[in-house]
Amino acid sequence: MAFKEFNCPSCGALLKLEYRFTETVICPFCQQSSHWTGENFEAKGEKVILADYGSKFSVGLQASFWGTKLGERKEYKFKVLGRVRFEYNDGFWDEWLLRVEGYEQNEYWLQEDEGEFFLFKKFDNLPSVNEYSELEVGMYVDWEDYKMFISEKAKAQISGGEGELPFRVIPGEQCDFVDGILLKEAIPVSIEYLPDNKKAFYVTIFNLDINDFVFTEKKQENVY
Amino acid sequence: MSIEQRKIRQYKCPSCGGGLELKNPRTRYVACPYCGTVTDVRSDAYHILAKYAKPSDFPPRGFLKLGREGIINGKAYKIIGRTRWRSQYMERWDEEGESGYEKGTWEYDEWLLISEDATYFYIIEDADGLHFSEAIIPPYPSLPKGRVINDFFDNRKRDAQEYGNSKILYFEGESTYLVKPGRMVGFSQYRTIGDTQNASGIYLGYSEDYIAEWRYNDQGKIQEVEFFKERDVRQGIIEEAFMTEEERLEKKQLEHARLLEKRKIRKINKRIFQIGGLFNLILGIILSVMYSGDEYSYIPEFKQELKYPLTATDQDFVFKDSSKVYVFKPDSIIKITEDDESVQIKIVPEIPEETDVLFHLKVYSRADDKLVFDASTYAYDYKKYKGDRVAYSDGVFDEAFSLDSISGQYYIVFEMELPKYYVQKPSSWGKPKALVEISVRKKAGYKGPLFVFFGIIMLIISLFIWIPKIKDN
Repeated sequence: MAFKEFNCPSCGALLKLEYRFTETVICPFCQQSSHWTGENFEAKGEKVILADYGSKFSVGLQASFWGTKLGERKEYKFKVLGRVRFEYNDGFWDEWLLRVEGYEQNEYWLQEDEGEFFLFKKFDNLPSVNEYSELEVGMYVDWEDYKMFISEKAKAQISGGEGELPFRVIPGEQCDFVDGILLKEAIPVSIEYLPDNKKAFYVTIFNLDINDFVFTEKKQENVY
Repeated sequence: MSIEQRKIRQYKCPSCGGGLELKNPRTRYVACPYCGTVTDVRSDAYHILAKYAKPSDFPPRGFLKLGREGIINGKAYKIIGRTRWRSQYMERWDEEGESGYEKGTWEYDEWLLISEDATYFYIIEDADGLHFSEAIIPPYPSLPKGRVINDFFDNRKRDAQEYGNSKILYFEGESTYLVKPGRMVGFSQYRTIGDTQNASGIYLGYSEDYIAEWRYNDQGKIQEVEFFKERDVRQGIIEEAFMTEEERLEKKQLEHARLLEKRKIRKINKRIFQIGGLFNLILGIILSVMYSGDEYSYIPEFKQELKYPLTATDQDFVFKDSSKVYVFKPDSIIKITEDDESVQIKIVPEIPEETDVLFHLKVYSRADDKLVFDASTYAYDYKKYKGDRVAYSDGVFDEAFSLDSISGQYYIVFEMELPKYYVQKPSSWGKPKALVEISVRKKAGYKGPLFVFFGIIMLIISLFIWIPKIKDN
């Protein structure tokens, strides 16, 4: 259900928004990014089409996954609302914004990493999260009741987006990150250092395999 | 518009102009198969990143090669890249309670596989064989230092099995990570042998390597540490999974040819055993029939207590076979002498020529009826061993009997020296203390059953020579 409609400031196409927290919309017709100013959407940055690499996911996809939480295996229905592509010296990765049925208030990101899928839940602006410069790979830092091992630290940038996104995306913008593992729990966590000094803390809620997903609609041919 | 717009599938090598096609749409770095130039295919002008040796300088070690497709764990994969690494490392040794580290170098290929749903898989190939490598997220991650590595699962300190660093020597195909020449990664690993459990709690016998691997950014700082589990995989499994249809056909044809050859040899063997068996069987039956009158039998005809001093007995020893009558006079064949320590009994039965007579001598102690000497000749032994002494052991005495020829006649000589314990003087006992028992076994035609036996054995063996069947497909 669209809760807001507007015309793309670049091509005029009618865009229907589904996500309450949308800050950026990328027009599916002309690839123009637009930012929500509080009153309307304004075109920002250059147009970028993300090259396809054969993912099973796409913006608009409705599917479900089977996840185990507190020992209970359950099917979670979701819709893919948007995607952000990050780029760093080793390549790029995509993160998919998911709206999970029954948990609409939370922000979930699905990250695909060499055949494994991590569903992260976002925790905004936690005061205890360290600054980028304070962290080094190999360190242990305390976060709430947990100890976190820093496993990766790199500078990255946003190369583009698609669909609706809950923060302002300008292609080419810096977005450094620090990844870690929660000790004893073996749970991957991630800190993103967004523009405007924003820090977002992500904790893996589910560690999934492609077989945990149920795709009802056929999305994609094989990549080769 | 940005470079992201390009949907790259095909492009030309900026160095040599060779045409290239990308297998993995996520690929960023591609090596030209003709000249070895590595290009960043997502940079604006196909930025040349490195120039490695030509593929012909670093041929694959074995079966795996770029482009092979196969199924692992039910998922179809294609091999799209290979990175050759050279490691310089310290390896732990442990011998007779002492341990230490020694330097080593090692080269290995890291094969990148991509699945139909764009997931990755790595196979490590080195001089030891093939290994599956799997990224893991351990509950106790750490950055190993020197010889110490923390166990990924219980955090206790372990001695690193190997630690050191690896450099890229060569790269071909496509890569998702940066393949700069000289790019270095550090690593440290420990090994568990047979102490890992599967989901059902069953201990697995194979060894697993747990590896921490870290790499550096351009500033020389560690950018990332990753954790892997490596497990050996049999070459056959990989070959079966990745063989092309032509190779499968070729292998099938080869196996078929081998099978034909095997069948041929087996058939010949079977025939040899059949014919040989039948020959023996028939020969045995013929021999048995020919010698049917000479039954294999014991004829215990002579049993005499030794008188002391020995006196000639009136009782002759007589036995008959189908054609002859043999008479032995015991006084002529048994001689007993004595000295202070022992009694020597020498029995010299006169054996007519060309007989199959078996002499069996038993000496019993009269004190407790215990058998103290038991020796026999076997048929034809006296011919075969003529003039020899033949070692003989009855478990109590090491005795010997010899064959002799006295004035043209054949003799068998049992010679023994018995302690006086066994043969007491009658003056103290009043009775002779030993009993000499000569039994004669007449045996002929034994060769018949022997051949029959061999014949049957060969025929049975021939039944067990399995001739492989050839399927029609």
